Amino acid sequence: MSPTVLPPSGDKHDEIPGLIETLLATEARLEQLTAGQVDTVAGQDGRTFLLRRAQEQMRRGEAGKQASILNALPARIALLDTVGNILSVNEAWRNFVGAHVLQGPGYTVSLNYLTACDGAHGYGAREAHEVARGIRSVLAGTEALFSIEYSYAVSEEQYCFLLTATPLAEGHRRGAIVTQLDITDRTRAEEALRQKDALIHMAGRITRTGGWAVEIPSQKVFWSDEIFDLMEFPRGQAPTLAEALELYPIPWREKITAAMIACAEHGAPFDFEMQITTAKKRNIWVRVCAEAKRRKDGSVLRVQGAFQDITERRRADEKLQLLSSAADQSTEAILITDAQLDLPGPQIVFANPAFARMTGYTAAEVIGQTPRIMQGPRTDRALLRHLRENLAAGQMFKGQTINYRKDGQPFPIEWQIAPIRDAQGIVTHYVALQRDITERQLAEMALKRFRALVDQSSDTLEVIDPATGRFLDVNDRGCVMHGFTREEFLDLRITDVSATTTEANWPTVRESIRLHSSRSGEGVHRRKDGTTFPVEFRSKWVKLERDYIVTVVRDITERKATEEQLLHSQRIENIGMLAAGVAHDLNNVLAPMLMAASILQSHITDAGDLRMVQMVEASAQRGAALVRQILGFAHGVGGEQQLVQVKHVLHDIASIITETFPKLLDFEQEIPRDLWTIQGNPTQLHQVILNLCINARDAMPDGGTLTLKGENCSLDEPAARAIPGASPGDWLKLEVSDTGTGIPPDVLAHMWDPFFTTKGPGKGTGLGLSTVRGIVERHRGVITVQTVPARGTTFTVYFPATDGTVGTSPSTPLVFRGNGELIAIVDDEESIRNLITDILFHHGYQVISASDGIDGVGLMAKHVGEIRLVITDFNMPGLNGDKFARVIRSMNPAIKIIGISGGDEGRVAAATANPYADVFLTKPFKAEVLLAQVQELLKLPPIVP
Amino acid sequence: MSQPPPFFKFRLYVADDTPNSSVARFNLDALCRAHLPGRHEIEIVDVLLDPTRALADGIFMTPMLVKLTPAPVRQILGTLSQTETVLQALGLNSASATAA
Repeated sequence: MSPTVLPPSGDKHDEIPGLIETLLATEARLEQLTAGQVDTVAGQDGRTFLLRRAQEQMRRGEAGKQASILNALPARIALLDTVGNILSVNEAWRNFVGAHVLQGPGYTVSLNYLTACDGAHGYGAREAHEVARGIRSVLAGTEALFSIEYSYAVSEEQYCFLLTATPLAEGHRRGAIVTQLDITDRTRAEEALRQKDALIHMAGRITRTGGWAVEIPSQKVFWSDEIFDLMEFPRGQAPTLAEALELYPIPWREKITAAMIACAEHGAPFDFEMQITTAKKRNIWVRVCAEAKRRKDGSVLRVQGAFQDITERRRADEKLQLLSSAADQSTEAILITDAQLDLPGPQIVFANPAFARMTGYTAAEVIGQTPRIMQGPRTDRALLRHLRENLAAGQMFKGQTINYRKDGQPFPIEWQIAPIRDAQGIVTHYVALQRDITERQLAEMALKRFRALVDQSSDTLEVIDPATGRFLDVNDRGCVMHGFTREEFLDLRITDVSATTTEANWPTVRESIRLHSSRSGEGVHRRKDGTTFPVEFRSKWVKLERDYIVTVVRDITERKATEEQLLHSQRIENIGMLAAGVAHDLNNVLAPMLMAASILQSHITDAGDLRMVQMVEASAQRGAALVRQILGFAHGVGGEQQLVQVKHVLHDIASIITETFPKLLDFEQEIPRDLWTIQGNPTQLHQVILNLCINARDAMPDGGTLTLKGENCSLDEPAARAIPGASPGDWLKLEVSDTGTGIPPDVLAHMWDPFFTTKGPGKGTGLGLSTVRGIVERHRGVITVQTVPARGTTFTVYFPATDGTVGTSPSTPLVFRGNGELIAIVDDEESIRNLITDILFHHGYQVISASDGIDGVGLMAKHVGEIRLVITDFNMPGLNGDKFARVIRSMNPAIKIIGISGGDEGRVAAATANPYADVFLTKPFKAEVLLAQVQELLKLPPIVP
Repeated sequence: MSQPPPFFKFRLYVADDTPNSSVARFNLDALCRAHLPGRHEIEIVDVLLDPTRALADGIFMTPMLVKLTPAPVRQILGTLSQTETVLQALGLNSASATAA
């Protein structure tokens, strides 16, 4: 149709109505002819002419179709005029307005939509104002499209809308079409998808897992964000497939390339653990797996898969592998159980080989069992209870008890059981380290025994650190010896204890020990109180796990004292031996005097001469007694006991005192005639009293009175109590008093000790009083002392008195005479030989003599059978008496032999032991004694004059 | 009749979905289904879309049905609402009687 129509001219004006008339008539006729069944007719030029009814029909149909289309749309559509009035709406708009709240003004036809939007208030007002603005700009032609998404709550349901406004006709201000599309479902679906996506990403992030895909055949690579992060790539453009494969180090690259090809071509899935290098050149372990996504025709559309960073897990696996092999290699039994403490008890989930070796159970046998199968009657129940309590409290437990092997054999075991907790701190398992401590217990016992041994030692045992000189250990004896506790001792250094080890010489001492590996000697140690004592030590360098010095220290205080005493006694003994030698010679000097005196007495008739001879005899006898005393001291005092007339002893002493003591001493004596006898040894008694008298003399260097007193004394009960050591009864009491200096208290305390002397070197032996006391005690006596400084001292000795009395006077001497019997004398001392010859000859015997054993044997050979008796010296040079006696006995078994000896008691004892001598006489002896023995041996009757 | 029934080829000229054209299409469909099942073919020619075709075929009005086979070729104008007349015109009268 031509849009342009020329304005009709004046003359043609009349033609138009005619033509319309013709058109209408033509049309009516056509309709008539075709009975209204024709829609179009065409002219000769083929132009189609639509008949009026068909035109009408067409127009109505078109509008209906369009309305149907609009009504069929789910969107709500409204047509606005140029100022925003709603011209028409579709069915969806109408229904929505009808169904919901929008009955109000503004949303239905003929109302102004803009005004309605402008008037909105409250919830959604902001969006409504924005809508009004947008529509206005569309209506004004400044915007070709306005769209907005907004949500709207209706009946507590949230709805989402997409509103669009478009111009009705482009370029013309003819109004606008407003479309509201309900996108609630789409929005919700999108939201759900977003949430799902977020969850997937979160899961991926946490598990360090991502997804990937490779399109086939384009080879376009898709990576999820997680893979970009894992690979340390910036998110966004994924690398090409070739680039992606380049990321794998060579050995893996070949493998995964082959797998990719197989998956892309044949759909073969794969699942590998490999190493890959990230963009930041870090090597990480990944698990990469893939599967093929196929098209309907079976061809592979894409290869898609997952990619996980398993570096941590690989590390954990490796660590686990290491730990597991450590557990396998451990020599300690390791047992892991679950945490079930209630019946039937925890179950074993792991046991290492050491456990199997220890118990005899294999791991397979015990897994699933409770460790209680190893307990038995000797297992400590209290300990188990304690264990259970500790574990229940989540604490570690250590203990020892008895367990049983599979074969029932009990063994001591040490446990260390610790709870294993998960990340939340909940105890899930227990791990038990178990050790068979049989060996250790034995070792501990041995160690304890050894320690006891060490502590029992009478010597100090020290362990010293060579580096510092500090004591590392010391035995009990060492602590006691030095007066320290062990703790105090272990704080000390060697220089604190050894007075002979100083800071200066300690390094030298140490090096000496190291060099020679040991060192010994004597030194001085210091006690805690500062006092010192002599020690003997022996140090040894000991190399164990490190270096030690072990030192044995012995307190030699007593030994030192003993050594001094020994030295002293040795000196005394030397003096004794010297004295014995002198005594022997003195005896030989005295013997002729005695014998000669006794012979002279029988020849002399003049009373004056006789007294002189008797005095010579008494002096010689006293000399002999002195010699005996010296010998007795030198060789100790055995001393036979006999009934002793103490008054004789006292008289002897008194005469010695008067003869030998300084004359400026006054001597008083009180010796009753009826003094009781005692059982004792006269020589020793002599020694006691003489000793006390000498001490009394020495206490009075400037003179004074010495009193010697004897007394019979009957002690009753109270009197006996007053004297320590005495008992009631008859006692002989001897007193030696002086008026001297008295004894100072410090001397009084020690004066009985052996070798204690106040007399200075060389003057006294220190044996005097101790010998006195020894003798008194041997006689069951008591000795006491009273002393007053500057006034004097009295020693009182009590001896138990014996019953009865000894004959008070010596018996009349018997006269012994021979009857020409032949007696041989063998002695190397000519004077003695001659004297004895004289005595025997004068008393009726025949005598022959020889000067030594050889001559003696010759004599015997000449006169064997005639000689009845041989008197022989036992101390002869050459063939001595001992051998000589044996020889002559063998020549004549019936012969009698008298041995004589001028020697000391030791030699006498040796001679006495000789089985060939019948009798022994010790020089010097009296003639009567010799004659009596001869008489006795030859069985001759005594002759009473 | 020993001869097989003939195959009908129709061509219907219409003008869009104008009322008469639409009716004619509907009626032809129904007639063919009833009387010529399996032995007909219909070609629709819209003269508004293809005016030269109508001109070439000498068609000046729509709707117009042209029976192309069997011979003779016949043209029937209108909505095809008078079924008996149409059948007669198509030569299907006796056939329908025989069939009845």
